[in-house]
Amino acid sequence: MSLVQLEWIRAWRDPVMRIMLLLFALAAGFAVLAGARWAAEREALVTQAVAEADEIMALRRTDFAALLAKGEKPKFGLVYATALPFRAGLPNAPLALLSAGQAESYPAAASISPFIDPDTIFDAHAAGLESPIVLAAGRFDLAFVIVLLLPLLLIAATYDFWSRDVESGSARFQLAHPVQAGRLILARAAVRGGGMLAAMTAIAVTALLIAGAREVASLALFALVTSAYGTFWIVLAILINLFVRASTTAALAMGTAWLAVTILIPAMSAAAANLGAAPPSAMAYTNAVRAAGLEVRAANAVAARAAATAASGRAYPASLWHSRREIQQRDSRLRPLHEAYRRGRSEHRTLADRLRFLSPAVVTQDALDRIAGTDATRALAFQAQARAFAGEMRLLAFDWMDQDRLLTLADYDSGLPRFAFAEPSRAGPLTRDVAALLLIASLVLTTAAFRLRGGPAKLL
Amino acid sequence: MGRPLATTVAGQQWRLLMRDRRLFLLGFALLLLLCTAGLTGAALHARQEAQRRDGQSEEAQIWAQQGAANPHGAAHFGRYLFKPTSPLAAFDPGLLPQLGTSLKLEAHASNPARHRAIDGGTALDRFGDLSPATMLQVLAPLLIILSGFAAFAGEHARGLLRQELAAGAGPTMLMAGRLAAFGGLAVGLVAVAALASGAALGMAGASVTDFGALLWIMAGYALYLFTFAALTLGASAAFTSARTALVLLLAFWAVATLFVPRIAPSIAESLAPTLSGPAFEAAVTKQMREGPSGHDPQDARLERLRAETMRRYGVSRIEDLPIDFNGVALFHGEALSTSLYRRHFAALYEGYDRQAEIQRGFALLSPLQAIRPWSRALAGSDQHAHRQFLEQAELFRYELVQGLNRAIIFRPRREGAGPYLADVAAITRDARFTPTPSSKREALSRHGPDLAILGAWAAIATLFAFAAGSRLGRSNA
Repeated sequence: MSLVQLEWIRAWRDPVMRIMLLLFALAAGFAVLAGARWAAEREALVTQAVAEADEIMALRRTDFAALLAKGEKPKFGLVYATALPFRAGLPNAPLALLSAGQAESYPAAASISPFIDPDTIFDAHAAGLESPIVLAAGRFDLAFVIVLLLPLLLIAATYDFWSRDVESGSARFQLAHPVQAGRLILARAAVRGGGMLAAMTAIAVTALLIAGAREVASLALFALVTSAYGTFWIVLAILINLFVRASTTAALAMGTAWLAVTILIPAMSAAAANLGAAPPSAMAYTNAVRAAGLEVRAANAVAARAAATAASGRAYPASLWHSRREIQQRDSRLRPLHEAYRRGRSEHRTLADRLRFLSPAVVTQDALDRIAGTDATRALAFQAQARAFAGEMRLLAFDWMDQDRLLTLADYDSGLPRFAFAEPSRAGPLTRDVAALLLIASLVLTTAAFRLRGGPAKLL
Repeated sequence: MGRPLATTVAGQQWRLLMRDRRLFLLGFALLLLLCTAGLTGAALHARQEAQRRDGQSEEAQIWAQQGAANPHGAAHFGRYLFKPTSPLAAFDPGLLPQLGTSLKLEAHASNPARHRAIDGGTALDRFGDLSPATMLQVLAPLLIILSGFAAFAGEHARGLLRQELAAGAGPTMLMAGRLAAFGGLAVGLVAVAALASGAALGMAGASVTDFGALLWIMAGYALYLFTFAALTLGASAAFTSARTALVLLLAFWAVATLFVPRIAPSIAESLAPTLSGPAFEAAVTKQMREGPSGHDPQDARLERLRAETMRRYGVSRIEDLPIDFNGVALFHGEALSTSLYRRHFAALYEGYDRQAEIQRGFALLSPLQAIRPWSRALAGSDQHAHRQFLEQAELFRYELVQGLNRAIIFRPRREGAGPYLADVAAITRDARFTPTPSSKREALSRHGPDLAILGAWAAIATLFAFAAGSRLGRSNA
């Protein structure tokens, strides 16, 4: 009987392995259900926010038609392009149920109007009313199961796969056989840990398929990231088993490693990011924007008063022509403030992003968020695209003003221009994440290989 | 005879704990981290509070600098309130990162607080912080488990337990002594945390009430950590293999501190769902449009108000009114929208309270579900303290906006067109917002059940330890 077969039988007969797989299946099943529910609610939230523009237009159309029927002339917001409401929404990615990620830390929709400062279009959607306790605890999604539970179960399966035999004396017997020590240990870890990892990955993929995930590329990426992360833990178990002689010490060492990788290093990295590149003060930003806005208003006060009573002689009143000039001044005055604030936040985010490489758990979380489309990069791409769309809609309104064009019933029926989100590429960051996981695993394996060079005597 | 023996066992166990270099280092590292986090947190809190006070004073200046402005325009320009935080938040930030730090007060809308610390985060932010409270909630129990899992099982494996029993030490006495030693470890950890937090509170300029709250918080942590000490010794006595005891204790720790706290809020949210932001706004807007009854359209309400106002002043034309009807319409509209917002927010907060009640039920599985709300509430970093701030701010907002609307109603009559301009700083000169911090007494009574749950956990864990200890006597005698 080969070495692999023997270890396979040992693992198969171990009831703990079956119990752990069952636990994982239950946790993954619950997580996928919870994730699917969250993703559906998220989609509904975005749909509702986007539909608001159509609802407003439908109400205005009714008023417009009623006035026409009465023989009156529709006025103000019913006819001016400057009052047009637009909405932009960030749709779910195909595998959104995998991870809530950073989705709840960024606005998922924007309320746009031609004269509104493009940097304030997210304000109404910036703070949701989600239960803060749920946000603080974090969502029980599949990413959580993979990042925290999967390593715990792998540790339970492999933490003393060799040290236990050293303790009981059977390792001496195994090494007496004509087999290379390195091959023996690798094969045993691969069968026990690798088998467990493959089974857990298959369970997780099946759960996603049952929940309706169909995008093959995302599922394959998910399996790849999960396997790479699991491999790191198996390799770590090999290394620790080569250094410790007692089962209990191996358990303590693996437990400490888990604690460090999943809790301590991420928490310390977050603290380091806050110290190294503290986010800019929201209070100072708010005050600066308001003060600058007041300055522009004060500079235009006389002109605004005059415009309120002046006749423009065109389709749009003088007050709107004045507002057009004033908002352009306001936006160019506020732009440096917005940019400085965004730059400050970006510096903080960049540092935090780099620090993720200190912990394989954070790298994995980042990769899973990117696969789920709930990562910061995608949320920021939405913000940039929505701001650009707001700029386009302002130009549209200006164009109508220049042409003295007022809204007609036909305009209401033809509908508003729509925002369409263009997916940013995730290939670069995902490649870096997977490469980092494999590199860390390789480094740990190399250290284990050095230990093995000492010969079998060092393993007893 | 019994007491001195138990004291001897406790003293011996304490010496063993202190001599274990690995545990000593781990414990020292934990305490160092805890003290560092507490003191730096307090320094940070003091700096942020100073910035907040400056920011609030600057905001008041900006409001005053508006000069002549239309009062309704000023009500839309609005004011900002920057939320103060309790000095105890340096010990337990609780839900503060998830709750907004600034609030825009404006006409027609009761806004949620914005600028949450979690906004604009990265994958790193999914892993949480390392506040002193988190260390006591998650890491300290682990240290206790690692210190005590072999207290009986290890000695059994080495044959020392048999010797101790043969020397005349009863199993109950052994358990009492070790429980005293490990209980001492738990209380010692809490005492150091309390001293560090006390020093931090002093730095942050805390009041006597805050120091009192800190003592109550620490009483909860003492019960919490004592529970883990008793469970650890119980498991060590119940299982002859240290490995089995360790694996089971680590599994309990993972379930109690990591999994239940994450599953419970999700289940509570699905059992007692609350409205999302857009759904909430849509519900308020719909009621504004259709009236609270759903059959009283906005136009009809306005027409009725116009007719009533003209009747009250005995005029037949709106132009003949001695007051500005636009202001009257704004005043009534504000009253209606405010009542609608208050009703919907009350329903939302009740939903949060129902979720909290459901989560309290999970304290049967994990004592963390009791210590966490206890600690947050007394630290003033929970949803309730936030709600209290928002409700006080809402009262201030209403008075501010209606003050501006009154100015429009009674504005001087003058000839000529153009918007009405007034000195809004003068109109709102008396408007001052001085929030009252949440009452610690009220927090104590609201979270009394959590302390009772912690007490029950400690009692049951102690009973379990002694029950396992008595079995130990029978199997090893």
